[in-house]
Amino acid sequence: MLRWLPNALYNPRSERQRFFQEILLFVFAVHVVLLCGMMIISFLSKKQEKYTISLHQAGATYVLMPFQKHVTTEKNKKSKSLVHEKMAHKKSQLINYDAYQQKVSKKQKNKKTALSKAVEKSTTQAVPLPLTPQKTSLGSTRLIDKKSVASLKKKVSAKNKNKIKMVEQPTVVPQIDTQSLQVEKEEKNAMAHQSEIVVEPSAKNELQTDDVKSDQTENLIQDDVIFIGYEQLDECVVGSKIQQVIQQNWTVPVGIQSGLSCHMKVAVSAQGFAQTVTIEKGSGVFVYDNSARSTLLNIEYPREVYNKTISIVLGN
Amino acid sequence: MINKVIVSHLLLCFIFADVQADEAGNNVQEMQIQVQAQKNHKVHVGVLLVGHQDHDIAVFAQRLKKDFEWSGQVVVTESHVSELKSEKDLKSIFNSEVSIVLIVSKTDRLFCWRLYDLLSMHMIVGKKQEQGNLSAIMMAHVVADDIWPQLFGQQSSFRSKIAYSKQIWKKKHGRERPFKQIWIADFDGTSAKLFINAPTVSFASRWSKDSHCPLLFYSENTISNVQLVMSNMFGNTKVVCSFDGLNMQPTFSKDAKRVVFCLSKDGTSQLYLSYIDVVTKKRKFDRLTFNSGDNLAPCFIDDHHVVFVSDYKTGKPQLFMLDLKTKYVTQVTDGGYCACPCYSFVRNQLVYSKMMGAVMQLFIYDFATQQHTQLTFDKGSKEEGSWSACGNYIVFGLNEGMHSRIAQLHLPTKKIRYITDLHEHCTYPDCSPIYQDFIGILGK
Repeated sequence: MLRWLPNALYNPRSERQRFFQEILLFVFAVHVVLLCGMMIISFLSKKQEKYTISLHQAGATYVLMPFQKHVTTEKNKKSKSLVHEKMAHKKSQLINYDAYQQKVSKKQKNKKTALSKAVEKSTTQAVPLPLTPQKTSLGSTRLIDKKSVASLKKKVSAKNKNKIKMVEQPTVVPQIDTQSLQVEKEEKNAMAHQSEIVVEPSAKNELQTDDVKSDQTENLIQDDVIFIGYEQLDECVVGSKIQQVIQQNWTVPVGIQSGLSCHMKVAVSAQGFAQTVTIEKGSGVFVYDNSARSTLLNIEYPREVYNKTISIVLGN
Repeated sequence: MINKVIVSHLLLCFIFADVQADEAGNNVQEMQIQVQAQKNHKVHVGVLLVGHQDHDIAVFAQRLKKDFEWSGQVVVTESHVSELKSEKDLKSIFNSEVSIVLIVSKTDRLFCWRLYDLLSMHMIVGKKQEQGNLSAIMMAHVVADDIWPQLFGQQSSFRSKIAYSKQIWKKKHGRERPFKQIWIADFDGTSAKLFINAPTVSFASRWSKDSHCPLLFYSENTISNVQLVMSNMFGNTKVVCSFDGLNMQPTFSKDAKRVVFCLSKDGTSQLYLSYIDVVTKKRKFDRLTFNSGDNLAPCFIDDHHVVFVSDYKTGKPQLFMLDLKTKYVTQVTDGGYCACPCYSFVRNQLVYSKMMGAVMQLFIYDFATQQHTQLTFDKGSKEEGSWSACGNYIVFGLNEGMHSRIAQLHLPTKKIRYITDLHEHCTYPDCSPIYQDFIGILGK
């Protein structure tokens, strides 16, 4: 086998060595062919590659995983949730994985302390302090006076009396029709949702990317945490820019039912405007899809998506 | 030496291939931007009349514009050209805000219309329709009903009618006495026409649900009772039920084979079911309720369930649901003073009136979610709510002090409009379904 190779390369000492050399050469040749093929394919498919923007949920907390390029959707499935109306105007935030872990551990500690406090409250009784010597944290002992015990007893009994008084004189709460209140609230929410709302400043929905702030972990909600890799971070930034522009320019026809959404595919030109906008999946309402399409045709896209095709979901 | 070189090359190749595979895999992963709108706008529609413009087409265009703009969701711009050479000229005729254009032309009694999307410059839908015996106004309603679902994905009811009672004062035996007539108007209260002009009080009109057989039922006072009368679309009437006491408020099942109505011949108002027996082919009456209270305002939910108002349980009127098969009654409302239920098949919701403070307000009960929602909060007592055929409007009687008017609530935009004039005393509205035939008053 392979007798056509020059003798300089093919100088086996034994048949066994010759066999192994042949295998190595064969594998090497196959790898070179595969690599060349893959390079050609990637070069050809580069122009048709669909550039995608990272999923952006307004009001979510993005946790940067510094040693991962991409975080799979399976990992995010558990932490993903539907976009709530309340969260639509909340700021998104970006934090380090370390900061996230610290926050999670703090939360768990707080939960434990809250539970323990609740248990203590339910089981606390007026227990007189013992007269026996007690050890303090420093290790030294001290005797507790009778006077101090009596004063403590008085305090406890006074507290109990107060409690009894409160029970005997319940405050009169006017009867409120909770059903109508709830209905009113729902009505107000519905009205507010339908009425014309002035577009809020773009900063509210913009992802903070200047500094990875570890301090903004106060409002961490477990369900709205999204894990992203360092390559996805750039996509998040671009996605938030596009989202901001669309939200400033897009208006929905009056009286359209809520819960509609349409999937659009936008081919962005080298000048930053849409070349073509096609509807991948319509909402079923022509005027809604039309308003989305005209918005996407007229807005200017960020430089990062020039000459790329992006996919946008407009609606809920 | 050569072996070492080969091995090192192989290692490099493996590493490079792994990197390439990883990148290729990542490029396949897709993610999307999700965006929510924060502003609303009205849809701009252009109506272009092409060709010779006569009186009919002018009235047609005017009515069409009113129909589209009635809900507050659309702004219509009209234009007229003698000839349209190509569709590309449409962009120059209308301003940039107009994204949809309706091109209308008329030759003799034939109306041709085409709906165009200006963004993509292609036709959405087009149709040719014979005017026949329809008036130009009715023709506009028909065309609007064809176009609205194409644009908004919702049913519309522009060609439905509203029947209501209007009080007038007439001299009878030397005295001024109040009478109530039945009037029929278009869906927005325009083109109101007197339909029943009996010298008595005619009220509580109800449309039949059979789309091929338009009939209007109403109650009228006599010396001895309140009888139930039926009228066809030409004004020909016939007494349907004349027992002692009250004979009123019929409700029809969706298949139009059964009717439930109120009779008080046995003392208090009870519900009765009337149907044609399959075997004997004769009409039968079955009593449905046997309590000591007053049972009123029945309405079919489906072929086997009827919602009605009764005060037998709590002393105050509440809504109950009766199963016609098992005769089992379940309470729908819980507390308060509730009345005037009306069911929408399109929405699967019930509208009713409930006393809140000193006035009646409109509420909705959703059968799917089993939730009650208050619709109105302002002054004025709202009663006798009636759903439009499309489920987007509720027509109701509004009583404010000495004034009684018919008003209409548009649910998507929450706007209330008055259908009748302030100085007219109008009550008991009822919206008709969409009938297939435009006979009699339906075609005017």
